[in-house]
Amino acid sequence: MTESVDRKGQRKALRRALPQLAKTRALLDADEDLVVYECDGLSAYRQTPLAVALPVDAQQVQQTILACAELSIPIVPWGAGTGLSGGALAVADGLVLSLARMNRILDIDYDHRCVTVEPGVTNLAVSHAVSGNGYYYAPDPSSQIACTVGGNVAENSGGVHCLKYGTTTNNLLGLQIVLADGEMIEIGGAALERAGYDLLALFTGSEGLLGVITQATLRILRTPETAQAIMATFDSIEAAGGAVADVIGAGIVPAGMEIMDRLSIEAVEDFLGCGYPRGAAGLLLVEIDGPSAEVDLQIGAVEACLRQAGATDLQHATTQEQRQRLWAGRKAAFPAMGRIAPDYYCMDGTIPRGQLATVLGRIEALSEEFGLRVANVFHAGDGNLHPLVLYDGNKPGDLEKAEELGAEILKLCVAVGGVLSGEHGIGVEKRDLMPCMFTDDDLDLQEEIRLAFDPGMLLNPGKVYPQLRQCAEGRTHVHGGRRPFPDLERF
Amino acid sequence: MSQIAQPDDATQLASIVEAAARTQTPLLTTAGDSKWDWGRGLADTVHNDRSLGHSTPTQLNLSALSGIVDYEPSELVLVVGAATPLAQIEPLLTEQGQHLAFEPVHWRSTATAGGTVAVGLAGPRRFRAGSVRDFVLGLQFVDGKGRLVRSGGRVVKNVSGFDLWRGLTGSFGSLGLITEVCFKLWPRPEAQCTLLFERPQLQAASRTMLQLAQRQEEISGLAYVPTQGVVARLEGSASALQAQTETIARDVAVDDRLPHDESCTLWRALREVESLREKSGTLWRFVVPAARWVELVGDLQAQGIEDYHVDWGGGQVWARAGEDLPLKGHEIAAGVGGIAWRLATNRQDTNAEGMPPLDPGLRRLNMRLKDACDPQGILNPDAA
Repeated sequence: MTESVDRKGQRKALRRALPQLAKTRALLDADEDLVVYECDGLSAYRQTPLAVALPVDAQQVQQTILACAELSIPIVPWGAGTGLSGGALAVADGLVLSLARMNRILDIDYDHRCVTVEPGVTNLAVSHAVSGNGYYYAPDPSSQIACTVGGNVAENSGGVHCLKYGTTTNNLLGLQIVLADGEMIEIGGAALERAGYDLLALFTGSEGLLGVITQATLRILRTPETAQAIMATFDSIEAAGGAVADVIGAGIVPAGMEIMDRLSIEAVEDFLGCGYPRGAAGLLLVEIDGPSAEVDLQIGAVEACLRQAGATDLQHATTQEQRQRLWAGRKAAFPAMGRIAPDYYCMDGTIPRGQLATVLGRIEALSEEFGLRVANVFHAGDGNLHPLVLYDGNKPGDLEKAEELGAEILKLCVAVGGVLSGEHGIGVEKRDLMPCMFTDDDLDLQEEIRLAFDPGMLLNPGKVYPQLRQCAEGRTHVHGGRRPFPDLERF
Repeated sequence: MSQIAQPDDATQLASIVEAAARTQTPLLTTAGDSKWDWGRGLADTVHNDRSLGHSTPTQLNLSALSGIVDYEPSELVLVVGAATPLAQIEPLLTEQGQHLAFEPVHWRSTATAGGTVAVGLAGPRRFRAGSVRDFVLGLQFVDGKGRLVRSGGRVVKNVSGFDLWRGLTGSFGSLGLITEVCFKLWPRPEAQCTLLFERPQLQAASRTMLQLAQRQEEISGLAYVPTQGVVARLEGSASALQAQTETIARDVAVDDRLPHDESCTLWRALREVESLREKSGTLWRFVVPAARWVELVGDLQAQGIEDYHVDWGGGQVWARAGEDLPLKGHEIAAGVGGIAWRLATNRQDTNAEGMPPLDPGLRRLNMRLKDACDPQGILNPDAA
């Protein structure tokens, strides 16, 4: 049997097994319909799926999962496809299970300060739905306008306010999940604790390997009474990093703290002209929120810390408009890279804050060694570093070089006591680096848990856990003509 | 007679567990033994049906796994051996103006870091700051096969691999034996005060609590004490507390204001459930949707229970049932969409009703996780 005949047969079998989806155009298998599902935010990897299902409710999700289990068709859950680690990358003989049509806000409960939504609701829609009453949903990944709550839970998404307000896992009260065997499970709700083991924690950030989320109950917070921000200029990154430690040492937990390096500042100024200090070695943005009396005091203390740490210039934003202007540059940092390089590859390691200067020094050396520029933006509050490796995809070998450099940076993060991924997830992108962070025993246990939930490895196969358990020494795993993911087609 | 073993370090513990897995010997662990009355009856809730009843259990004293491994105040991170007493940790953090923001419940003076994580019981600030698991960044533990495993790390933002460090929090040592804990720390607020709102009517008390919980001030504790009324703890800079108090007083009449020291004493007593624990009887803990505590208290009162207090803005109720009152606590909790825990009354009490029951689907899922982490079912199977 040829491959295409097999695909045809599987598609036919799916249509037969899911007549309701098929007749409502909720089961797509024509090549032209599948194009948009061939990659997520990590566009270097592409794969056209066998078919795409777009269920409208949890029962249809159950039917789809049962049909796939019966036909041994692997399932890749899909939110908005904004993920940056290839966590939603299709598999050739698999079904993409898109939750996009399950996009209703089911309940807003101010007494318990929570909102229950279907998985396809976007992150920002949650805040929009409650902002009129003075509430918001804290996790704010940069893709929040498009990314979905289901994807946020699967990836344990963060954003720029994680030190103070946590990531998705700290802002989640309940889930409804369909497991690989089609069983639907409800965990948690308006009460603060749950019976049994903390499955909510285990499911959050499990990258679609343990179950498909069909409903989530999110904790919402009162919008702070006020917020103020300060932008400080430094003539060395070390000084900016030192200032962060001083602020925390002064007993202050800012809502956000962001560092940008010289190259990022230049790129943003070229792009937006938002008044960032050209030529400065480092820029630190600090935002304080809370009751106004408290914020006034703390912002004064922050200012003192920044001066003490050697800030050469301070800009203080007290109005919402001024504050948004200060943040505009930081928020445009990624698109701004397009002005100074044809392509960039965004990395996502977390490091202990105190290692910032060391890590940036090493990145600079690596950058020279590889002949590729690296711009750095850093969620300094929570230690999440996003080095942006600049390259030219049209130059043969440049992408591979960028990936090698990226892998070296992540190994460096682990070596200084950090982790492989802060918020983008492991996906396919970093799965082969997992042995750099975990021992065989660590990984064995995790995979045994995965098998306990999904013995047939039906859900999102090929993600997170490495096929070959070896932390490649140096860069040997990508040299000698071998690419890191030989089984994946790339562009 | 059960055997007693006291491993010197995590590696030794791992080999003991490995041997126990081979011989299917149940292991019962303690370090500070401060919460012996918690978590019994777990076997009835989540354990598999494999009977270990015939093997003599080994008692494992883990108190050697103690000590500060790493403390970096500017990183807001503390790494400690599991058996490190809270009594050693807390003064160290206070010195640096930091603390464990979930307010660990000590229960007894011997409480340890690992026990705190294993039990997963947070104090009054849980209502605002989060639970124990929200302040655990990483764990090292020995699983049921005797493998020494790490999960998580020392950083706030981490999505590398399954979140076993939070998953193990509150698992009562039945998924893995914790050997090392990394905590996320928080600056200790400079000062606190407590506002008192007299509310003899429960409905009025509940309305006041819901109203306060939705405010923008930094209310870090919100409780109802029948003898006093609604109490709300404000925390922050000493000079800003007055301003926060005034803002609240503009909208809700404040009957009294307890200054720092008195406020500390009040919340410590609430955290430790002091007044209810001093008396005899059976202690129950209920966690319910915060707007429904009045219904719960009504049901308890119908059973003749008058000793209780309400914490977490209405989300947690502690109640004491008289010695001769068999309370159907789980049924009562379920009636208001909540769950309950019963505490053992003495060391002979098998406390079959100790843990909240699980519906069949969740129970199966819990068992699958248990089986994956401890296939022989030897970790704290609660053979008591």
